[in-house]
Amino acid sequence: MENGEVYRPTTEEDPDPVRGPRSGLAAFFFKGRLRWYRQVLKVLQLLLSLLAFICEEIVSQCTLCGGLYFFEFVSCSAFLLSVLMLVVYCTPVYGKIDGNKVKSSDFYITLGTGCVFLLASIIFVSTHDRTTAEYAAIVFGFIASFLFLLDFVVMFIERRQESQRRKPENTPRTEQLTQPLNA
Amino acid sequence: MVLGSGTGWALGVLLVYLLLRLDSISCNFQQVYATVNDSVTFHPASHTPFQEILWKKQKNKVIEWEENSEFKAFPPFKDRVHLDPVSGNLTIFNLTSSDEDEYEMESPSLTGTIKFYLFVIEPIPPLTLTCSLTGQNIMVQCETVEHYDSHPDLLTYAWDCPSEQCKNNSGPEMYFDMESDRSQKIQCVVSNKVSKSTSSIILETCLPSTGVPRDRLPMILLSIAYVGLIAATVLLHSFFERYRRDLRTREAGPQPGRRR
Repeated sequence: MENGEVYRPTTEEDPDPVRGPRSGLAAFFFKGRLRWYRQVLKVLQLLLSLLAFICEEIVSQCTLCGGLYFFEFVSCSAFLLSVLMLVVYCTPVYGKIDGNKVKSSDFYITLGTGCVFLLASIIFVSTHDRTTAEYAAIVFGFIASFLFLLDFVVMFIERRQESQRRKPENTPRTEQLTQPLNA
Repeated sequence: MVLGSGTGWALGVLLVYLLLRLDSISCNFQQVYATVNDSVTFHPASHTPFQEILWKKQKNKVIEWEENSEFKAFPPFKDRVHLDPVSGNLTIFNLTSSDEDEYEMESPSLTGTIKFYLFVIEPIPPLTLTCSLTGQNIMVQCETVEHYDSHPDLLTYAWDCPSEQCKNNSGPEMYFDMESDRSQKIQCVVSNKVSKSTSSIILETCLPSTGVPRDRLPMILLSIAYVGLIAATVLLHSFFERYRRDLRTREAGPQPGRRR
């Protein structure tokens, strides 16, 4: 019983070690799970997709509405997905779920969002009514889609580097086995 | 017959008079332009000293002066003219449309007479730009808000817009095709010798909109549902994956270093 009282604070309450003495909202956010450049990319994705969405929402009339509606759907979804990913990575939620699955989902979601956002921007370019808000939305849309694709490329490179780092651990062993010991 | 010859004679005289008048305006007269209610000064540009000066409007005297005597102004110029006896300059104040005419300066010191033609012009009122669709073109018309008939022949039109066609147009109408950039600002500048008026319009605002009001809510709701579905799938999948992994590690036995 005594031991239980002694160990409880150290064994049960094992929050993120980086949180330390921070309190309130700042303590809630955890930034160490993503590298700084990916954090910047995620925040920029969020901001630019939000800007694209807001500019698109300013448009009150449309002639070829399909492009506008598709862009609205994609920009809104991209913004919400950016929020989702930041919430998952930067809050205690991450501690309760499988990190590899999250990273894998992030990989495919980012690729999908980047491609679809780019497509939506291209379609919107050919269907818009030449208002200033539409031009702004298109510009933000293109920048946001390139940021998603850049994030995907960064993740892809990170993945490759990780798999290459694992390979050398295995390859020397096989070489050693196939090569004669006295060679 | 008599009537016919009389009419012919009168027309002949009128034609000769008009020709002479036109010739005199274009060649011998110095043309001066001034605004209504403003003032104007005729500069004879003569360097001879004057002993006496007489300014006339057509055949009517405006003001006369003799050395060692008073200036004598005549109606309707009384109290609104000023004569400089040294230079011979005549200034008329508070101009009215009826002051428009030919003015002549006579003096024994001059070999001939010096003539001016005064145009009294009303300032150009504010402009309005109206648009209409003519076939496959958008026509923008530049007009004055009020009726303006003070020397319409002296009006010049200029257009300013990003398109090249604006630079070459000097008429009151401007044509754009349907493919033109509708967000462009079009400016019309009307000027005469004394005043200038400007008006501008965005091409888009002058056309009846071909678009329809858009919906906002359906796509936003759809994207919220879509992202919600993705979030639920990813989070649940990751959560169960973690749960399964924890279960496996727990089944494999207590981990060294973990005190529980």
